[in-house]
Amino acid sequence: MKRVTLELGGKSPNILLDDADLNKAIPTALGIAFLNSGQACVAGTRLLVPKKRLDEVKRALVDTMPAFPVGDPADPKTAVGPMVSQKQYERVQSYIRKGIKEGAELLVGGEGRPEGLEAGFFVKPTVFVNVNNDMTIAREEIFGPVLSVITYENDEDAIRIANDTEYGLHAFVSGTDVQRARRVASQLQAGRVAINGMLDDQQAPFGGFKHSGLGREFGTYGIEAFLEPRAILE
Amino acid sequence: MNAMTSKVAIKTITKHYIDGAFVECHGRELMDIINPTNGEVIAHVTLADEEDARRAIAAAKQLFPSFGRTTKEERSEILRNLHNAVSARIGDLMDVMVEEYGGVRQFAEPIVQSGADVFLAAEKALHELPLTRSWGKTTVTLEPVGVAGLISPWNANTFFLCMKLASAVAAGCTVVMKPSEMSALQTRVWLECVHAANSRRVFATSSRAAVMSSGPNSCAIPTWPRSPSRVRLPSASRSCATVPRR
Repeated sequence: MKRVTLELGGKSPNILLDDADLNKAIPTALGIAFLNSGQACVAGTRLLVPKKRLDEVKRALVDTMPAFPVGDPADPKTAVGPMVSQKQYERVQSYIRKGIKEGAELLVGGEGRPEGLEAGFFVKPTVFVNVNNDMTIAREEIFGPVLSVITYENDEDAIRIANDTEYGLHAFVSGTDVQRARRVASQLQAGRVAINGMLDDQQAPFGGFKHSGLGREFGTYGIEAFLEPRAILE
Repeated sequence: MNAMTSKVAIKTITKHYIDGAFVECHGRELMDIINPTNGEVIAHVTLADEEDARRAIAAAKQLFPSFGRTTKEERSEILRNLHNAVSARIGDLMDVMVEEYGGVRQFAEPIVQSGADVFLAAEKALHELPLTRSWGKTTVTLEPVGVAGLISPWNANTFFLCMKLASAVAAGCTVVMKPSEMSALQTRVWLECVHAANSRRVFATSSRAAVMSSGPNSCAIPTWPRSPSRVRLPSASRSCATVPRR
């Protein structure tokens, strides 16, 4: 008999509430999406935005992209480095092609290597808009710097879309009214929900709901995974 | 191209770390380590086979009875030693993450630091966790489950190795670790940290906290279910399987 702890993948939602300050929320959203060059299980790769603010969000995303340069990982200014291998490069390319084929609209990035970076396994940091939550790029973990922007009607709709996934490792909520952000966070099916940023606490449990895994790591939760209770009765 | 290849000497990784010592790999299959920033081969790693996995598991199993009986204080000391040893090599661990994995410095710095810090976080958690509760004539103790098999991914090698080892050591488990073969250079530096931590040991058991194999073939994984009495708790984090073979 085995006891098993598994931390698997994610397709984490980042709900941008309609009171979010885009000057903060968009750099945060791109930072979460492109974390570790997108090769992060916790990456927030579905950005859920209120339909009425989509145009503003698109402009803010395009304007913020220069803050996430792709290039030599040794350069402290570089935000997105190469993919780990040729195979991972190809995997990311195949998802970008699927996104285009399934009708998502490229806002920035796209197929192929960025200019001047032909030698390594570099991909173009990519943002898709007009993504439907049923598209492959919204359902499967890409493990590369590819962000899908999905619109919603109201908070309930955002929560429904956020939870409409096989995964449940992480979720993010961005907004100005913290009480409201907490209300939304408490309805998300994810092992961790971070409000206004990519946050960490090494005592907080880390692991996933649904297909994102079994059990938890970190803190007392992580230690308990390696322990078995024994009762001695007299 | 030739100038570049000759400038950077190709490294070789042929050893595992078992029972406090670096030992030659039994497996013979070779894999290239490729720098993802320029596509150049920078190292060759010898992959473990089932025999390597068996040796690591056997050592961990033998060490478990004594390590499993250590006190919170003894485990805390080991965790602090590991924290100090990893902290002393933060720069090297970052550099090798950039070189071998292509991790950006912006991310490599905080995540490697986070790996060093997680040992202290586990120490704190261990002290907050009551290992004994009793009522009436009943006493419940939380016992280490046995040898832990820790499988970690390539996307944050140092961090995951630190995090999984920290929880297992805090619980009193000996371990067999299976880092990604694509992280062999990073794992080598990390193992030097573990070795340094052990050399400063205060307790005889501290040299036995970590039993692991470096850069083994993924075939080490299917060997475990065939040794059901040995590895009690597989703990895995996943990154995509992208292993190039030759």
